[in-house]
Amino acid sequence: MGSLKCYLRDVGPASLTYFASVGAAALLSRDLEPGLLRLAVAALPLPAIVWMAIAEIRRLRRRDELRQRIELETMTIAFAVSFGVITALTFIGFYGAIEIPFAIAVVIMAASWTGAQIWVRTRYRYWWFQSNEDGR
Amino acid sequence: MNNRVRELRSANGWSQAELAERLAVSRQTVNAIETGKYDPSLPLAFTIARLFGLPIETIFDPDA
Repeated sequence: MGSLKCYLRDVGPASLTYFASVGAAALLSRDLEPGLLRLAVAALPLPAIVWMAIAEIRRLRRRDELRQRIELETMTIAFAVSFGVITALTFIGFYGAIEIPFAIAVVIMAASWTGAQIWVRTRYRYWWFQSNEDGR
Repeated sequence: MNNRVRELRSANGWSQAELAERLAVSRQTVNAIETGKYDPSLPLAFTIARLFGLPIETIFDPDA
């Protein structure tokens, strides 16, 4: 089975539920006044996020050991880099003249993860298009 | 850590993909082990030793 098909089988339902719940939360919360009900609606995607995390972990546990090592190294590097950058930007925001939007944290985390993936995969010479058969 | 995996694989006439299939890992894992970029886990090292019918210490040399 191709890697995209495998990925969609493992994580697809959770991802679809996540996107559907984000859409539903955005639509429903538009007309609600701030309060408990709006908070509950805003929290709608949380179960889907937990489901996605569980699906990703289950998927990772079925990969072969080098792939698991690559993902672990990637997450470690990405966490360290993004934590450092976000902390630095937070302090710049506190004491500097520039205003940094909170949403930039998501971009930094995604960029750190992508950069770390490229770096670690280059180190192990493990490319995306060679990894069809690494599931157990 | 040096190892003799490439030498033993070649002696058996197996490709990296064939060895990977016998070990239930990816071809990239076999390549990374052979080139010394990755040291296998203990269970995988034992599986390799069992597959080649040799003691583990004759395949993997931790002092190198």
